[in-house]
Amino acid sequence: MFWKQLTLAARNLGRNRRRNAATASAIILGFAGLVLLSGFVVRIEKFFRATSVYLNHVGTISIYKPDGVERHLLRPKKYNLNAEEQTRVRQVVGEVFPNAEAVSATLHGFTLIGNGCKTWPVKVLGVEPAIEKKLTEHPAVQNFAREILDARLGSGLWMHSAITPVIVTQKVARNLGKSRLYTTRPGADATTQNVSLDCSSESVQSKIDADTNIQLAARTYKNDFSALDGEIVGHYSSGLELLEESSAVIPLEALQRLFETDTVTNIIVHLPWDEIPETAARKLDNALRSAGLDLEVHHYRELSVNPFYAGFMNLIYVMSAFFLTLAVSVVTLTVSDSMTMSVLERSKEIGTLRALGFRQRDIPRIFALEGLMLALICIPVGLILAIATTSVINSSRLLFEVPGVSTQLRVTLMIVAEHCVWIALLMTGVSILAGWITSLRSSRKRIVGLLNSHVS
Amino acid sequence: MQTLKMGIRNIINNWRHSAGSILSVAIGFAALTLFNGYISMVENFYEDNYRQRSMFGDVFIEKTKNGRPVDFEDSRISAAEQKFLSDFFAESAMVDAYVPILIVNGLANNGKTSSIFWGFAYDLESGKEMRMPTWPWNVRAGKPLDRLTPEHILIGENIADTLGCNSQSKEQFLIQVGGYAEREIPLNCERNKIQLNVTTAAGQANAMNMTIGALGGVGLRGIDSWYLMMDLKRAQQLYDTQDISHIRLRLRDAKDFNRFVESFASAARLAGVELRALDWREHILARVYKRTMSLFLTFRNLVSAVILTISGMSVLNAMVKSVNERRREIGTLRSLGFFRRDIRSIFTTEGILIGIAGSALGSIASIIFSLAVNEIRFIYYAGFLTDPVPFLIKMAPSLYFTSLLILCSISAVTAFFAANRSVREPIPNLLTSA
Repeated sequence: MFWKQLTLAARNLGRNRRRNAATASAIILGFAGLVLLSGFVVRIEKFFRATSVYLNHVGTISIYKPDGVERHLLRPKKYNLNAEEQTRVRQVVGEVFPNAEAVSATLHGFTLIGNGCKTWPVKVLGVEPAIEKKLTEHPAVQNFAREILDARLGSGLWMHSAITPVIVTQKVARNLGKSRLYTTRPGADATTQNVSLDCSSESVQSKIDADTNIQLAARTYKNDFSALDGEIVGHYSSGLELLEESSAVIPLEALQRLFETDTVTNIIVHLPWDEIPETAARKLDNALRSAGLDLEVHHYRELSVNPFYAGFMNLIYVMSAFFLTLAVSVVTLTVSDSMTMSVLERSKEIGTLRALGFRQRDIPRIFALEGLMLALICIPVGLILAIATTSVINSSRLLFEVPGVSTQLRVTLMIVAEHCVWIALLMTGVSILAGWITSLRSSRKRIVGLLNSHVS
Repeated sequence: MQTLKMGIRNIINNWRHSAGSILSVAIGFAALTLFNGYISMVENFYEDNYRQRSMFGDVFIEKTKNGRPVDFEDSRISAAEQKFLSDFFAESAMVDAYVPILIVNGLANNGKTSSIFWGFAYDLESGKEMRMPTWPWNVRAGKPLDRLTPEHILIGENIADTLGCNSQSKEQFLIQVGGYAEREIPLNCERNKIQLNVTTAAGQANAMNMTIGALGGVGLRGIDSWYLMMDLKRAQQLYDTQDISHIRLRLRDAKDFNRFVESFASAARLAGVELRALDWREHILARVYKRTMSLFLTFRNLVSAVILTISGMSVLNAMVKSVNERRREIGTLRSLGFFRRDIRSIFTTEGILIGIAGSALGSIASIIFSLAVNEIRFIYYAGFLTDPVPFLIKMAPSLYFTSLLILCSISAVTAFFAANRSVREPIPNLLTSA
């Protein structure tokens, strides 16, 4: 019986080619449109994730003292992790996540950076240089945040052991009048000069710009004044426009020296790219509690630890969900509309089938099968259309500006197979349901009535 | 008129086909107006945030050097230039309100902890005028600066956390486009007194003691992390200067922008001052706004393209079917003396009527859905806005009218092309078709 129904459905599809072509175009376009949108969302998400998790050291998950996320800058002594806690956390993390790509500590604070005549306030991040190297070279960063890496100049923190290396944003460097970068190459221009400057002289700007030396000044955790000499070894971009005004990164050990502390703001864990952060955070939270550690575990999707990622993706997801709803509604109603017309025009045919012994439930099945077959034909076409459009867009090398991002991004769409499958299932379901529902009423009509029916 | 009558009669006679086409147009219309209504509402939130809350107004006036723009942080308008500006504004009938701004940045210290800050000093009374009528109350806790003494400052939410300040209630959030409700929520700070440390234009370190009086910000994530606002006079004392960074002004009628820019440029040229006037959207401080709007435009175009193509194909299908079933009727009309163009006109009119009927049906669906969604008030974070905003759909007549025009055009064009092939056939073929 199923094969008979399938044959009938296939024959009907062939007979009503023009109508089916229009229904097919709705499914093809709806499918292709949703695949392209998902490709765009994936591209944006991967960029923001790679930038925040790796380049800005947010980590897949991060461990803070209770309330530490909000208050670590207010009372660092109270809300930072001490040496013993750091050791124990690392131990637990090692046990729970043997597959972790990296585990490191970061320290956040504010300092003034001076050039001898002028100071500029910055938010400074202390990181482990070896981890910084590993994260910069991470495949996710190379593949999804290439634009941010390309904005980097000079050398990395891990390349310097004899000095205190500092990397600053280009804006900070500009505000300090320091365009040069420290280099250890023989004969290089930028060398440290320990000369006192006459800040009122005409030539002071060129003297400031002649070397890479800067001073970092801050209050220690004991409220004393502290200062540190450093060399600007590189310019970097945080990827976020609003942070470009006042950001700097230095080795963790140097920042701890400046603040006279051995504490850190958090421990961050980098898990494999596909790890689900919510699950990982819950798992670590349980393990830490079992180990008697009263700490907070956060993941990169949380607004509190990664506001740019969470805020922006929230807007994108809401817009996409709204578009998905509208697109699916439009396709559903278009297919239903077309199917209804088809059912009405084929009332006599339905009556004949019923007279020949087809049961009531067989009729909706035939139409549902028609819907299924139509979807199965259309989805590969829609996929080809989406892939072709993606290839054209990706090879166009167009640039676009994302709100809040400091550099332009290449327009690329990233089609994910899993998303295509879900969208295909959705479209198939819509098509089957439209066929089934629209024929249900006709199938229940009396056979005589169906055979005598007339369509204008 | 005869064409119109025939069009109406055809729609009624072929009501099943017409119903299909009308439904397709209605679906497209509803989808288009709903999505664009949502995007327009988010755009309104952003625009309100910049123009009213952040006092951007319509025009920025800032310094140029040798005819070229300077970095906005290096823009310094001297006292003499300020005099020229105030005279010009007093004479210009186009200026409604303006506020002088000085950019401030440095380190804020409460004796226990410190934070960097970045923000604006402005003339408090002029600022209030610029925020009118929707944002006179621009604080979540405490009082607006214009209701306090000039020693007070306003700080952003995240810097407030760093400096140990919190409002007792976090209830105050945006409920619609426009400011907070005028309600004083107490502001609790571990230490209200704060010292601002800056470097003056001459490169000297300077400090001033201030009092935290309000918690607010510009409503943009990132900026609010170190945002601070204060009185202009105090800031000028702190920086030991009479200069300002730029001026923001609101025109009586925003449509006068070009006229204002022209008159300002010629006046500045005559006075020999190096200043320029530019649209607030073109200023670097509005870059997040501009990029967000550009992203919305991309989304809007993608969604419109998909929806209109699907609707268009559906209408085309229904019209082709309708034309094919009425080939004899077309043949009869041709044999009675109707020209080809008359037949095309009849079907095009039918298409327009279907477009109008579909749009009417779609607008009813759209209005009902919008009212239902707006009633729910689903709250979410819209990108860079710090405050959560409700999910609202705007029901603007212009939006509905534009959608009506687009869909009627699509419907008319598809009807025209559907009829075009049949009318070219010889009359005997049309009359003998099955």
